[in-house]
Amino acid sequence: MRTLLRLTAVIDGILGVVARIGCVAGLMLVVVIVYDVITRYFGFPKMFGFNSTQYQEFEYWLHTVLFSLVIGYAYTRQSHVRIDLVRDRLTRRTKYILEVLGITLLLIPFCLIALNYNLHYVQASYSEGEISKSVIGLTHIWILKSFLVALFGLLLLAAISQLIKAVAGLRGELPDEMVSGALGGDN
Amino acid sequence: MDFFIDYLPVLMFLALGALLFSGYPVSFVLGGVGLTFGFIGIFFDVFAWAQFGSIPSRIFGGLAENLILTAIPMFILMGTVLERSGVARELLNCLQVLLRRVPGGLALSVTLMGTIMAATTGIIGASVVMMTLLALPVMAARNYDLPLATGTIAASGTLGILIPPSIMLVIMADLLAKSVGNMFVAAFFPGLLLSALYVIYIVALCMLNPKLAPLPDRNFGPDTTLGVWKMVARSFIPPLLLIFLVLGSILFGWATPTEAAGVGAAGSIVLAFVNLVLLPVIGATHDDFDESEGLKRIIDDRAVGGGFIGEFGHFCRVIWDSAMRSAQTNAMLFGIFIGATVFSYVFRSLGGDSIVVDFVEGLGLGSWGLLILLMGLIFFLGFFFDWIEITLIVLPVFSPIIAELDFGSHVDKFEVVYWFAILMAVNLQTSFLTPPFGFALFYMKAVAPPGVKIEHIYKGIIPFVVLQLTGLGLVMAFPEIALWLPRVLLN
Repeated sequence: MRTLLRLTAVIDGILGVVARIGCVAGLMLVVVIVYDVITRYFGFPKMFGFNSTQYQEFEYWLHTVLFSLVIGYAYTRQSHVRIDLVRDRLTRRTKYILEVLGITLLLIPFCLIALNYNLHYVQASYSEGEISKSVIGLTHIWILKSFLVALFGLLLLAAISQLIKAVAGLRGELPDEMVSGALGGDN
Repeated sequence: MDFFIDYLPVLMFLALGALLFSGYPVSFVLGGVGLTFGFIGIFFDVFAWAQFGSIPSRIFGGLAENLILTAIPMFILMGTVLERSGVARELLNCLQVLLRRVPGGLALSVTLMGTIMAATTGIIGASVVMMTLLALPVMAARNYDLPLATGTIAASGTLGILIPPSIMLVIMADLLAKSVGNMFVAAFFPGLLLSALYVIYIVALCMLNPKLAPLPDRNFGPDTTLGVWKMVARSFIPPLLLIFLVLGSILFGWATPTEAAGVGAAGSIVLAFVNLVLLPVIGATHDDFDESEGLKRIIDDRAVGGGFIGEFGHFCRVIWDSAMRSAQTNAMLFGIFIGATVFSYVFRSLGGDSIVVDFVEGLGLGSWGLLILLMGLIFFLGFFFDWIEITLIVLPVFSPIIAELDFGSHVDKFEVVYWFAILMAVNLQTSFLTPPFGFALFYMKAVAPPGVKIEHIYKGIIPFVVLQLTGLGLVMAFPEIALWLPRVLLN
C-alpha cells in the first residue's frame, strides 16, 4: 500500500505540473484576446503574419488547452461538483466504498472508451491533413484534437490516483492529511 | 422485453437521478451512465459500437471548436480576480459608507453589490458563499434582524445567473443556438426589475421598522466630504467602470461577448494591480477589516510590505492563484459539459427525444400548459441542483419542445426562445431559495456564523421569494420586459 500511495503522490505531482501549463494557456488567452481587439480596433497590422481569423481560432485552441489539461487535476483537488444532500449523512467508510465503485464502474470505463475513440479521431485528422473550416484559418487541427486525448489520459491518471487513495482509506491506511484529497471538503 | 427496450431512455434518466445522489462527481456520473446505457443498447441491438465513434466529434465541435464558450473562463477569471484582490470587498465597503444614512443601508449595499458583482461570478454556490462571508458577520455585529440579513444575501447572491454577463446565459444561448448578445440584452431589464423590487422592499421595510436595521454610528467611514469622495474614486468608480465597459460593449454590439470577457479579465487584473501594488506603495492603504478564517481563504489583499518589489510579488501570487482557481472552476464546468454531451447523445440515440415529445404531446397541453409544466420541472430540479446541471441536462432534452412553443400574439415566434430562457433564469432564482431544499440555503448555512440558525434563513427568504414570484409573473404577463430592449438595440 505504501508503494501505491507513493505512486499517487507522483501522479498528483504530474497532474499539478500539467494543470499549471493549462493555467498559463488561460492567462495567454487574456493576452491574445486583448491583442486581437486592440490591433483590430486601431487598425494596427498583426504580428507574426497571422490574420484575425487565425488569432480568433487560436483563442479557442488556448481555451481547449485550458480545460483539457485541468479536468483531471481538478478531480484530485476535489473541484468537481457533487450532490452532497445524501452523501453528507453517510459514514466515511460508505463514502470510500461509493468512491471506489464510482471510479471503477463509471469513470475508468468512460476514460478508456473515450481514449480509444479519440485516438482514432486524431489519427484520422492527422492522415487527412485536416485544416480549419475557414480557408484562412489555422492548419494542423490534429494538434488541437490531441488535447482531447490528453484530457482523457490525464483523467484516467487522476482516477487511478483517487482509486488508490479510496482503497487505502477503506483499509484504514490513508494518512489523515490525504483524507480530504480523497473525499473532498469536510469529508 | 420490447417494453423494456422502448423505455430504456426513461430508465437511463432514473439511473442518472439515483446515481447523482450517491455524491459521486456529476460530470463522471453523466459520462458513466451515458456509456453504460450505450452498452445496454448494444446488448439489445438498439445501439451500435460505431456510434461511440461520433462522441469525440461532438465533444470537439461542441466544446473545443467553439469561440462562444471561450467567454466562460474569462468571465470566471474576471470575477475571481476582483474577489481575491479585495476589489469586490472595497466596493461593498464603499457602498456601505455611501448608504450609511439610508434606512437599511447595509442590506441595500449588499443588494447593489449583488447586482454589480452578478456581472462577474455566475456560479450560485460560490457567489452566495462570498456574499455570506463578506456581509453576514458585519450585519450580525450591527444587530441587523437576522432573517432580513440572510434573505437579502441569499437573494442578491443568486441574481448572478440572471443579470448579464451571466455564464448561464452564455451556455443557454449556445445550447439553444441563439445569440449570446441577444440573450444578455433580454436579461437586462428583468434582472434590474428583480433588483429594484428588492431595493424597494428593503427601504420600505426599514422605514416602517427601523429596529430591523440599526443605522451605524456617526463615526463610521471617512468624516470629511473629501474623504468620502476619495473613497468613491478609489473603490466605487473603477470596478463600476469596468463592469459597464464589459456590459456596454456587449449590449451595444461593439465587441463579441468573448472579446468583452477577455478585456474584462484584463481590466480586473489592472484593478488588482492598483489595489495591491500602486496604492500600498504610495501609502494609501485601506482600513483593516475584521476577518474570519473563511474570508482569509477567499480574499488576499493585505499589503505585505517590501516596497514595490514586495507588493508586486504578492500581486503576481494573487493573480496566479486566481488563475488556478478559475481554471479549476472552468474545468468543473466543462467536465459536466462533456459528461452531458455523452449522456444526451446516447439518450437521443436510444429514442429518448421521441419518448419525451410523445409523452408531452400525449398530455394534450397547449403551449401555456407546456410552459408551466417545464417551469414546474425546472423549479423542482432547482431544489437539488445548481443551474449547471439543470441547464446542461434539461435543455438538450427539451429544446425540440421549446422550439415548438407558440404563444400567438403574446410573444412572437422567433422571440419565444429568449423569453423562455429569461423565465427559466428568474424561475431558478426562486427555486434556489425555497425550503426545504433551497440550493443556495445550504451554501449559506455552511459558512454562516454560529448564531445564525436555519430558521432565520428560512424566515428571511420568504419575502424575497414572493418578490421573485412577482417578477416571474410580470415577465410572463408582459414579455416586453425582456423583449423590448433587444428589439430596440439589435432590431
